[in-house]
Amino acid sequence: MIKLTGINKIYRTNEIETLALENVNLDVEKGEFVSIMGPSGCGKSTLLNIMGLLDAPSSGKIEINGTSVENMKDKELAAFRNKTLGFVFQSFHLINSLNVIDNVELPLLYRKMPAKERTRLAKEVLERVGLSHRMRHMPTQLSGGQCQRVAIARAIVGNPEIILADEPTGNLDSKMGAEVMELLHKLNKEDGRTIVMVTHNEEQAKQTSRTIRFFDGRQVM
Amino acid sequence: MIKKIICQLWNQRRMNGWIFIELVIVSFFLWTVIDPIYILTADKLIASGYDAHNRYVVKIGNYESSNGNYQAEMNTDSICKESYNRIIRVVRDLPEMKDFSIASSASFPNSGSWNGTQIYNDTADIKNDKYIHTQYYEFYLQDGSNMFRTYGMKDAFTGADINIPADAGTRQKVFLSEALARALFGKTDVTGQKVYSHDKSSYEIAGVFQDYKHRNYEQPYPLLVWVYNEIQGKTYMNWRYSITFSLKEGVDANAFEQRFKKEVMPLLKAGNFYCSGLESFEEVSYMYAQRSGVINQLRLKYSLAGFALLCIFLGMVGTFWIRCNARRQEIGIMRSMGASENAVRNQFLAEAFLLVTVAFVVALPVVFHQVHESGFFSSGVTRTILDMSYWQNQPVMHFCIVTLMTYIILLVIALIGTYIPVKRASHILPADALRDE
Repeated sequence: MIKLTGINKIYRTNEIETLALENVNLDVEKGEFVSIMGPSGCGKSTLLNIMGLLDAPSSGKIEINGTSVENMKDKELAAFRNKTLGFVFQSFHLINSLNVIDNVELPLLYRKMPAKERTRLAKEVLERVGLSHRMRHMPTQLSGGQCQRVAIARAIVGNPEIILADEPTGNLDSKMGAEVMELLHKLNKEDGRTIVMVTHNEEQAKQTSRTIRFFDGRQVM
Repeated sequence: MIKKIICQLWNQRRMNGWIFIELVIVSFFLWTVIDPIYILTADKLIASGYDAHNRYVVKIGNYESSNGNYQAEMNTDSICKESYNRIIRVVRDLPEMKDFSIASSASFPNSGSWNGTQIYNDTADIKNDKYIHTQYYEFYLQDGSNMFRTYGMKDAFTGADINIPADAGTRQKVFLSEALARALFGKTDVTGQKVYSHDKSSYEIAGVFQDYKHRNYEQPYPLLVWVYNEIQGKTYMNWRYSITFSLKEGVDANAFEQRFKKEVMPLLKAGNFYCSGLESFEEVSYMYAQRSGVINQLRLKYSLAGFALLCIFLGMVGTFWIRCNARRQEIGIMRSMGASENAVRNQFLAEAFLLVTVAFVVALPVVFHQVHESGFFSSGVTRTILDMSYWQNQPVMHFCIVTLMTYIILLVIALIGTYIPVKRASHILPADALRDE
């Protein structure tokens, strides 16, 4: 499903070079729920961004669903990201000037889908995450847990095969964190979606099918 | 998509409020700057009714009694006439000359002065004082002089040279411009009809010529042409009669001017008259525009327009620069959700388009009120007759054209001002944009 081969990522400034990822080779099978663990600054989020085509590796090869993304142009890359990948971020990354349903509809907007169909799908997923009664609320009017559920609804509304979650419970209390984890497990088990999650939480990592550990930009286990 | 953008603009109304107010003010200001530019430019673009290319006025002076070349015995009317005719014939016989004309002093385009009179189409109108005010030109047929051909004035119907009847010089016949014919008779096909002067003298219309502009930056004013057989001898006749001519096709104007100064000017000396120089019609036109202040007025308006546009441009770039930087994270979110660089750019451009359009619509009633109270820009020429075939003379059309021009200019500037910062902002990696919190 996701195949990373020889991925290196170097951040360069005028004075220093920082090696964020070094020769990462990784395979994620379809339907897996993989967690990535490691101390802060070890390159977990960078890896997730590269997997999600939000960042470009300095070298190495990325294949998703058997498609090599190296030579894709911006427009193709955007369309590929839109259809195949869903993102859940630690700080939710909702657009504060849009209400809940408009935030959820966002990925569908770039598919040129008719407005009615967009609204129907957005309502469906909001119902699924238990927020159908908050559709017209602005993100600033929601709790952290609710915001993350909106973000999950936005990640799955376009029915992507892969969900990439970057510390999805990092900003939530334990109760809300548990709710979000339950939702992710449900998406993995019931819908068969492939999930890659970056986490610091050992307990949550144990609940996933595989844990990959990182240290100083290298895969250690 | 547009509905979403409108919602988003409304939700960000605090951030958008300032640029909106700025756009409303600028829309009003720009309209008032574009209006005079439109009028002055549109008036200038109207066909002049003559051809200025390779046409010249010979400047003739006469020696003052204090001058060493002054000859007192030459200062009689008959000798002056003979002397002036001698000069005329030297000009007429120039090998490069195509047509020449002896006209009254003000009777050439952009001349320093202007002759006007009142004309009637019926003797009853004289009683009722229902006159048409017209400008008039005069020229003299002697020695083959033909003002129409020299200036390139054409017949209104055939577009060919104007036919001058053999008895035209008896001052019984006149030629009218289309504008004057329309003003007097409501039509231009009036050859053979009569017009009257204030003393009830009647004149038969010998022909109608295409509308003619005495001043390049003005609309054609009604013009009447009187023709005489010959000039009269006077000591000051150099002030009264202008000698103009056109060059043959293919003559190098620069070379001719050089030769004229070197070889011809010394020959143009008879009695107390002498040639003081040669001026092309183009030079005369430019000098008049300079003197009358039209050029300065246009420069001022263009500068104001340029300044306004620069302010708008910098304002838009600055505001959208700030907006784009403030919304880098949002751009990152959009990109991570599958928006291409183009989609992000288009959304921001659509926002700019909506802001400009709504602000412009809000400013329009204020502009309309201003026009209603103070009128459109006036170029300074008082007219008794307005030719309604020119759009700038039709109030509704005038308002619509200036409004459209202002809107298009404002929109183009706003879109460029938006495009530059948005292009930069959308060109970053989504991961980098998302890191900006």
